[in-house]
Amino acid sequence: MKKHLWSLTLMLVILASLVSACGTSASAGTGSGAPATFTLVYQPGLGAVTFITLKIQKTLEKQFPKTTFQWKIVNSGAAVRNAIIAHQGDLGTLGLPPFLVGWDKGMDWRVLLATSRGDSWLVALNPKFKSLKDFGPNDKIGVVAPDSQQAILLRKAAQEQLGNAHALDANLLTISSADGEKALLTGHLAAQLSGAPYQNQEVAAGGHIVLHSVDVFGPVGTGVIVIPQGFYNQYPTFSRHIYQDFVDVTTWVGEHHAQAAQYLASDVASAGGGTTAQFETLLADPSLVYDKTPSGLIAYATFMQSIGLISKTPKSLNDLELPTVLGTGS
Amino acid sequence: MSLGLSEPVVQSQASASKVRTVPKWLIYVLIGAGFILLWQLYISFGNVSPLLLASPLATAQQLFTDLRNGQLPGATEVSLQNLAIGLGFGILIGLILASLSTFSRPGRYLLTVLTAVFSPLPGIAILPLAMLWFGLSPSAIIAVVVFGAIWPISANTETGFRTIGATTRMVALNLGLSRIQTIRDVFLPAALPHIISGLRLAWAFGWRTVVGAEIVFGVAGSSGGLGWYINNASYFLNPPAIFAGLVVISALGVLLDTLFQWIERQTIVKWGMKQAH
Repeated sequence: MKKHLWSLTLMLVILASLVSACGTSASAGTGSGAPATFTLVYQPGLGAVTFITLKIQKTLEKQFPKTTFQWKIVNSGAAVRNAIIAHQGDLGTLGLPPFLVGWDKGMDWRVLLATSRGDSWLVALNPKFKSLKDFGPNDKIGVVAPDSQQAILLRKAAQEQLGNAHALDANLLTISSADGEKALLTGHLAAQLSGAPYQNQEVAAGGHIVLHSVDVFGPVGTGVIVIPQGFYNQYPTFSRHIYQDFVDVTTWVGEHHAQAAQYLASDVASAGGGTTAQFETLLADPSLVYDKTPSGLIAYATFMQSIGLISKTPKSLNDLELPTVLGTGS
Repeated sequence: MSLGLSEPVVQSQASASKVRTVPKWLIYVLIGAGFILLWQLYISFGNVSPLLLASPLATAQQLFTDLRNGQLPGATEVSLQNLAIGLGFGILIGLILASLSTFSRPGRYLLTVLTAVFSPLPGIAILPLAMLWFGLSPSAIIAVVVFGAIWPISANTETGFRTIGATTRMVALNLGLSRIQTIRDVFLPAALPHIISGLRLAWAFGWRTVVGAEIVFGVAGSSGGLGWYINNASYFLNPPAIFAGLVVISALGVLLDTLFQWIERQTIVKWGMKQAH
């Protein structure tokens, strides 16, 4: 009997160790107000331009030589969120809905700054798709994740055009933007809602725009850069430096389209593939505005709460933002 | 008078006979209950983030909620439907391949080559190809299940056919049965123990493949299946729902395995072709 008890205790200890290991942070301070390691998690696409530029120019490494910087590319906002929960990432960039889902579930993270405002398109190849009313039950629409900004946008559009936010839920298909582009062009998807450069490549290949995101939520933000509140409290100076670096690199990108486009073209894994000329055109698109001020957080939260995707809405923006952007935006 | 047994051995046999009096199912239930109790205690006193690990209570609540609102029954129906269709086709093709292999030399060569090449491939590995060929629809998942089911069925059935005794074969010949009659009335019943073993392997592969494919595939909406249910719960950061999905998958696995055991008892065990355990 004793032997059995020992076996059970051993199993429990192993289980406990495994679970505890999941929550162990690897970061330890360098003694100079900066962590020993700092991992930035981002998603591929045009929105990664600031990350790619910082990575290539080694801006952070020059400022904090004692800190080891790691760059991780993941395919969705949910993956960014999981990385931060598992302490595999210290800073992440993601769309507003996956950020709000995390906040709603009690994640202690806040917005350090926003990335940009832009227009996402629902692109279809078949000319029969002129509006959402034209999509039948078997017409699949690719989105990067069920909680992605695109998926929520589509639900809001469905509510407006079809009278039911969930009318197209069965049409949604989770697929990465790059794979979705291929699936659309080979006829496996009826439409795809992604972002630049994928949507532009789809249109260039003969697709047409069925829906503009700005027609649904207005010209709101497409993403935010977040870090855990606990990390900010532990490394406030370092965090403010990181914030300032992103602000500076955003300004730099705005003034150096050609050089930024070269960076994007050189990093296929991060940017999604394309030529320097293509990226330069995309960066010059007037509908893409780099803006550090978060916008659309309250609008998305209110809609998501109204259709049951999150349980609460923030009382004010102060619930969502770090001191770097506190009280600004919408 | 000594019986030649030392005292500790006698004690050990006595305690063993006591253990034997406890019904097996009760031991299983007690192990399960103990595990759930330890799990809950760890959550209650281990300061574990609810985002990392759901408690048994939260899991039970979510299970109840999603059973009541139809989400879990709907997802289960889709997964079982994909499994049943895939297994159905897999069994049919597997039986045909095994029959061809038994009755013709080229058929044997064909099955040997196909099994050697395709059997080591995990079903999920061909999902990207299936998605290209069958589109982003449940057909791709079914195709993967068919692929996974064919090899255990055909290999086991073929072994069953080959191990049929010469006397049985001669009886079939002397009765003047056609090939189809021989397979249907003689070979299939005689090879049943092997066929059922193949079926048990095939459904286990198929079940894992269905859930894995649904997770990878991510067909959203009401037609998503249990893999999609878990994936969706992960996207919306809902660990209790992830655990609820896992509980249903596991419970269905146990139920299906029990069903196969029952079929075995009603057929090959009853007919004396296999011993009951």
